[in-house]
Order: sequence, then C-alpha cells, then structure tokens
Amino acid sequence: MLTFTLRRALHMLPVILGVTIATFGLGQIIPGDQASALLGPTASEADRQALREDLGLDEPAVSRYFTYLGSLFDGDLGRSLSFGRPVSEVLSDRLLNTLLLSGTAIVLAAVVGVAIGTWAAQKPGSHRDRSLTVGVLFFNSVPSFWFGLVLIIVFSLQLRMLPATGMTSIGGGGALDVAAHMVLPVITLAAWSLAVIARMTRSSVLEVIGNDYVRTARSRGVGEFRVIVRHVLPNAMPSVITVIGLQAGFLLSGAVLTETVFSWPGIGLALHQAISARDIPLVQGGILVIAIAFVLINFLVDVLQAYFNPKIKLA
Amino acid sequence: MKATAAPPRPAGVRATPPRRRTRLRALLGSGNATALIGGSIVAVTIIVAVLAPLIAPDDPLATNPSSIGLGPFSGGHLLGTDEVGRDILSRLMYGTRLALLVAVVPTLVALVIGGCLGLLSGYVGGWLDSTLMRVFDVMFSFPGILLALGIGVALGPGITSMVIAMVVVTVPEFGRIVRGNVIALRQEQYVEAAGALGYSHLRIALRHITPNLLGGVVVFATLQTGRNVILSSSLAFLGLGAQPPTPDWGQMLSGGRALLVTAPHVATIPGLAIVVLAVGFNLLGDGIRDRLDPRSRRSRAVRGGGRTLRTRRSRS
Repeated sequence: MLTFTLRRALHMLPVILGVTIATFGLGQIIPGDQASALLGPTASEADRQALREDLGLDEPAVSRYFTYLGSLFDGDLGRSLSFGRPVSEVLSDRLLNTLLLSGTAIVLAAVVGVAIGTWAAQKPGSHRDRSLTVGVLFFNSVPSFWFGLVLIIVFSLQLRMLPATGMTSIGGGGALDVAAHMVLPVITLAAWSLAVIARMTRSSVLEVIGNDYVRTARSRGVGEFRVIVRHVLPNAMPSVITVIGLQAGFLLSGAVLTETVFSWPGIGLALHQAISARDIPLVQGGILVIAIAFVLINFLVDVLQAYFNPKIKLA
Repeated sequence: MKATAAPPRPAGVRATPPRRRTRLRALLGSGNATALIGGSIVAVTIIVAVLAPLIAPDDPLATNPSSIGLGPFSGGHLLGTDEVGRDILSRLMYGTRLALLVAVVPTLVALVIGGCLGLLSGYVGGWLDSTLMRVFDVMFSFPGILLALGIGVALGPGITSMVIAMVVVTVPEFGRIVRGNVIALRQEQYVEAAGALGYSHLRIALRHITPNLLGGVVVFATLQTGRNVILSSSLAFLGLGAQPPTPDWGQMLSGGRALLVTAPHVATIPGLAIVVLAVGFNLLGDGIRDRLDPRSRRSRAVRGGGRTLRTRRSRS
C-alpha cells in the first residue's frame, strides 16, 4: 500500500511539471509584442522596454521557463494587472470561497447521486429509472450558466425565496446568511455531476445486484435496505468513487461559470474578470492552482481505490 | 426442387420489399426514434442557418431604443426584443450559423489532428506512443474549459482563438480513443494477414485499420459536437467568443442578464436554443451508436448507462 502510494505520487511529478510548462506556454502564445499586450496601448516605449527586461523577454524561452519555475517554488505567481496585487494574494483570498462552494457541491452530488442511482437500479426499466435516463440527457445538454440563471429567475426574482448573487447580504454575514447565498450556486454546480454520479451508481449497482451472494443474503431473510447498504453498495463503490473524484476536479473548473453567474467571490469570478482585462498572470496562476488541485484529487482517488480494492496494482 | 427453392436471391423478395431501405433509413433505422429526433433537430438548425437572411423577420443588428426588452408576442416581435431593442427571433436565426460553426469546425479539426496522432501513436507504438500519451496526460489534467479559457485569453477574444482553444482541448480525447481502437485492431487476423502479404505500413494503416475505426469515431465526434455546443456557448458567455454585436447565443444570454428582473425572456430564450441544439447532437450520436453497435443497445437496456463514461485519466 505504501509502495503504491509512493509510486503513484512519483507519477504526479512529470504531470505537474507538464502543467507548469503549459501555463508558461500560455504566456508565450500571446500574439505580437508581449510587453505592449500586457501594458495596453497607452504605455510609453520606456515602460514597455522596462517590462521586457523585467520579464527577461530578450532571453531564450527555455531559460525563461526555468526562471518561471524558480519563482513558482518561491510562491511567486507574478502580479495581477487588473487587481494590482500579487496573483498569489488574489488567489489565496478566494481559494477558500471556491473550495467551500465546490466542496459542498461535490458532497451534495455524491450523496444524492448515489441515493438516486441506487433507487433507480432497484427497478430497472421502471418510471423512476427512465426519468433518471432522461434527466441525465437533459443535464448533459444544459449549459450550467443558463440553468443558474433560470434558478435565479424562479427562486430569487419570482418567488423571492433566496438571494441571487454574492456571498453575504449587505450588513449580514452570519453562517446562515452565507448558507442562504450558497443554495442556488451549489445546486447549479452540483446538478451535472449529480446526474453523472447517479448514472454510474445505477449501472454498477445493477452489475452487483445480480450476484449470487446478494441472492443468498435475501434468501436468508436479510432486509432489502440492509442488503443494499451492506452487500451491494460496498461492492459497487470502486467505480463510483472514480467518477466522484473526476467530478470533484471538474467542479473546480465549472466554478468559473457558476461563480460568474452568481457573482460568488471565488477564483472563478477572478478569472472571469481577468478575461476582459487580459490579465495573463492571473489567468496563468488561477489555471495552475486549479490544475494542480485536479491532479492531487486524482492522486487521492487512486490511493483510495487501491485501499478499497487490493487487486489494483500500478502497471 | 431444392435448387430452385433456394436461389441466392429469390425474385419475389425483390418484387415486394417489406419496406424500401434507403441509405438514410438504413442509418437512422426505422424504429430508431432517438436518431430521428436528433437528426431532425440538427437538420432544421442547418436549414435555418442557410435560410436566415430569407426567413428572419428583422435585421439582427438593428437596435431600437424605444422598444427595449419587449416581451414575446408584442410590438410585432414574435419572441420580443433584447437589451438594446433588437429582434430576438432574428438574432436567434442568425445565431444558428455561428452556433453550428463553432460546434462543428472544432470537432472536425480535432478529429483530423487527433485521429492522425492516435493512429500514428497506436500503430507505431514505442517511444512515440509513450511520449504522446504523456503529453495527453498533461492536457487531461487541465479541466477542458480552463485550458480553453487560458488559450482564449492569451490569443485575445474572437472566434478564431476560441476555435483554436476548443481544438487544443479536444484533440487528446480523439487521440486517445483512436489509439485505443488501433491497438485493438492491430491484433486482428486480417491486419496480421495484410502484414504477411507484405503490404506497406501506410497501406495497412489506411486501407485496413482506418475503415474499421470510422464507426466509433463518427459516434464520438457527434457526441463531441453536442459537448462543443455547450463549451462554445460557455466561452462566449464568459466573453471569449464572437464579439458584440455579432448574434451569438452565449453572448445573447450574457447580454440578457442586465434585464433579468424586467425581461427574463431575453436571457432564457437563447439558453433554450443552446439546449435544443445540444440535445439534438446528443440524441443523434446515441442513435447512430445504437444503430452501428447493436450490443450497446442491449447494454444500455441492461446497464442503462447511456454513453459510456470517458475516463479522462490514464491508469498509469
């Protein structure tokens, strides 16, 4: 187990290195002169020259990459153009908000998704089962930002039940206030993953439920609930865990759209603001942080998998 | 007696065919409602896109400050007007052009590039294969929309950079699928036989392997087009795609947010259009798959999984 964990951790290194090459590359594909692109059309020639020297644009790309990598190790992600502050500060202020949103969403999606999937699998071909299939198709084809807007229109503007945007009300700020602001964005963010997790749960439960040991348990008079919870779900879990892990990663990136719709002060909203300002350093930093989080989540999932299923070995 | 009873093609069958099997019907299948509905949605969208200048009731760019955010069925506008008084129906109709363009073109380009890389990687194997797969691993470790966003920002907003970003994001998906299929096909006896006959690698790859890849790739490409409808509208919503005043669904939705309180239809109607087109491509892809691979229909009934999940991670 320990060997597996260590070797799997070792496998992350080249991927993370590749991620840094890619984010570095983003800064290199800016068409034309980087200095004028970064400073905007109003900057003077002296300023541009100063920035070029500052960025080391006269040096070859490889040596600039190593400079970039070195500064990453110092926790220096550059300076955000639109916020006028170091990127690391902008991101660390917001990281917790994004994690709060996507963490709650993945818990919701996992719990409700597994429950719905199991429920549908108990009666394959039934009404509830077919509704799940239709629901999956629907959420597969619905842009999350549109779904979020519809939720705002219905629950905030028409029914006036929940706040539409932001994280806290003016003057408010208690835990209950934040929770009320979280309801709609969490549902928006979780919906698609919930559908995917439910579908995966349904198919793996169906595969397990036909096994002899399940029939044996039933014939011994074990209650249906206990059969599902004790005999079926544990054996259906491995593939479901993989999907939940993947979805957790996607939720982090899906937060860009959800946070934009709901003006949730997370990394995603900062990235959206960076688009119009063409704030490359902020975009590079934000993408790097989320991609590394994605790699780490995948690592955790693999380790969990190996823990639950000793048959998995590193190829 | 027997010889006349079983000719290779009995004349009677030809004279009264139970149902004429045109090529289209063979593809869609007479009972295959899924593909038919999906295909119809896509076909109608294409027709609207082609005929937009003829059937659109209004100029999609003509603003009118005196009729802002009119509701549907009012002031001679079937679907109302948007935040600067433009006719929403006309903008939707012209928007089909861009919607189809940014869904189909990135798919085709990624299909060609990813397909070639996958074919090369799977067929040649060795260091080329492992290098390419490492690169794909890195690209898979970026959630797609983020990488697209980064490329879009770096290249500057616009349709071209959006298409480039979408291609970069989807190439690895095609590459990995084609590679997997190629590796499986390479084991087939007819491929071995072709090798034993002394055919060149190029000929084996193009004449013996590629035709057997097409079915799966067409299905995946259709489903990917559906995903691209969502991805492109997401990028447009974030402000990376076509710039105003070009009629673009994601952009229209984003613009309508300003009128969410007084005229919610301005933001919701373009979203519905996106959903319908995405559903169209998804149904079409599912339908073609059921048609090409009867096994998947059964496994859908048994396991009900719909599309099999893409595992975006190598188990390395």
